[in-house]
Amino acid sequence: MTLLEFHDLHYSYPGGRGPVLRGVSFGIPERKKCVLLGRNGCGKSTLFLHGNGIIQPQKGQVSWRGTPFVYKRSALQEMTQRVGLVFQDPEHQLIASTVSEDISYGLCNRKLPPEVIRAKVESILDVFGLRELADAPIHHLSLGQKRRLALAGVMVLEPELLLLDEPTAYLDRYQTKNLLRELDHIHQSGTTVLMATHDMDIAFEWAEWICVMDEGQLVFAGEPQEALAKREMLESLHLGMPLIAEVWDALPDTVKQGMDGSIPTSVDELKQRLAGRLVSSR
Amino acid sequence: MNWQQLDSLSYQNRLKQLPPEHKLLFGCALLLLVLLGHALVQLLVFVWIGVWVIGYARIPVRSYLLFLLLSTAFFVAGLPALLIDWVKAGVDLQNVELLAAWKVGSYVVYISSAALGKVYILFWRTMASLSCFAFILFTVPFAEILQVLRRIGVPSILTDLLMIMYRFIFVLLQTSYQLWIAQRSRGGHQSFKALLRDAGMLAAQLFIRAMRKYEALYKGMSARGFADSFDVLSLRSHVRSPRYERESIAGFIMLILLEGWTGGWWF
Repeated sequence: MTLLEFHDLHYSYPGGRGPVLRGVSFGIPERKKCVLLGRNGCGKSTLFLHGNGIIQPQKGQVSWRGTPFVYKRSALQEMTQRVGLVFQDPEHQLIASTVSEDISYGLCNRKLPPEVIRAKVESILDVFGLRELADAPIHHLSLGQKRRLALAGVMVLEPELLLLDEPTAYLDRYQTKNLLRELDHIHQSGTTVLMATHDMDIAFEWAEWICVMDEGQLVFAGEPQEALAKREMLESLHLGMPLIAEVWDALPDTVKQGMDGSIPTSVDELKQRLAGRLVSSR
Repeated sequence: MNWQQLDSLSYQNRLKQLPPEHKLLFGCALLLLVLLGHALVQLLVFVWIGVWVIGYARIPVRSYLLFLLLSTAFFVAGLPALLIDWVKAGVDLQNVELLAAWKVGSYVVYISSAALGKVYILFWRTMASLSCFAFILFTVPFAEILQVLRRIGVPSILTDLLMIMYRFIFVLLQTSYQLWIAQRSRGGHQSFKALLRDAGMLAAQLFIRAMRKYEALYKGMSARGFADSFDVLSLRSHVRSPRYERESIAGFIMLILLEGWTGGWWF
């Protein structure tokens, strides 16, 4: 089942040099951990802004569960609830003065009764570990905390699809790991997640579905293993291969013999296979 | 002492759990009293607020004094205009009680005791009202002042604007600081002329970045379902304190009685 579908999208910014999107078409499969790969400036962010109707395509169509978007205020209001969008710079979506007030912002826009809002904010504070910061002003937070808050402010609306624009940029390893764990939780609780990134290691470790964009067009969509098999394509787009695939490639064939032939996507997977092989060769 | 510091202190002070309405009411009532009252009451309010800010709220003495000192600087800057007067030489000054007088060219420049008296009145009034402001600024976080304003029915266009301004003062400060550092580390600010040019560049960049930020923020707000107003809800719960309520009410009544009894006592 396709959740959100882009069909032949074209878009160029007023005053910009040339189109940013040149006929992107692809669907986001429901209940999958999806990654959108592409280099900086390939149109990922612009595509995301089409995803919840903030930008109307100049040509082409966006549809939700098969129904095309209607660019009317009330319909778009509904889409911003179904599709949560987390920007790369959290500064751009944090508005209120304190953490709990900011989380309540999206809920207040939905005109929910205060008791419901309060309960939802309370529970999301615990889920995202922001309880201690509940009354802290936004400008006292670190970048990692601001990212977490931006994510919490979106997740409190319980969207069906979560779009994340470069969520791991500028985060250290520990924060990145935490973020991926949070995204796993979000995915397990039934939300489809699409993350845009150019970090190949994170992409292949985490994704169940990979899309690759280049110069405003979709060049690939499919399983991670299929993507890894297309080494030439990834290299010609200057995305490169994930480190783990390079390591796998460098292993002598004698070591790889007797192991599952596919390329591992994470360090843990490689470790498991190597351990399994050592046991079997003894 | 800068705004960030003042802001952090207001979020960390020991009176933060008290209801913001009470603190605002207390501060404003005292402010009204010192504006209408006289020197003795003003002095007492000044001392009493000192106890509240330093003793109860545990604001560092340094920060409090610095705040008073910086604000008093404006008062001091206005002193010459208040104190000094001049007339053409030869004009009769018999009725004026002179403290000092100098002859400058064809003028006589002098300080009268009436002017000094005025400065004296103004000084105590200034100090006492500054301390009332300090109490509000140090003990009530801005977000809570906003919540109170919303509750008492201030038009939402005003509170929304205040909220966005408050949020972006810090973004602006941060951006200008980053630009400043970037200029310094790239060898700017070498001479006075270069400094002026760099400062001009900084101002222009700030404007451009502010516009970009505005566009990005607009998208951000749309993505979060911006409808027509910025409603937010605070989770913060406050605890009333009978001890502080008793002290503030009793003290306030005593001050009013004192003012009435002395009828504007001078010292």
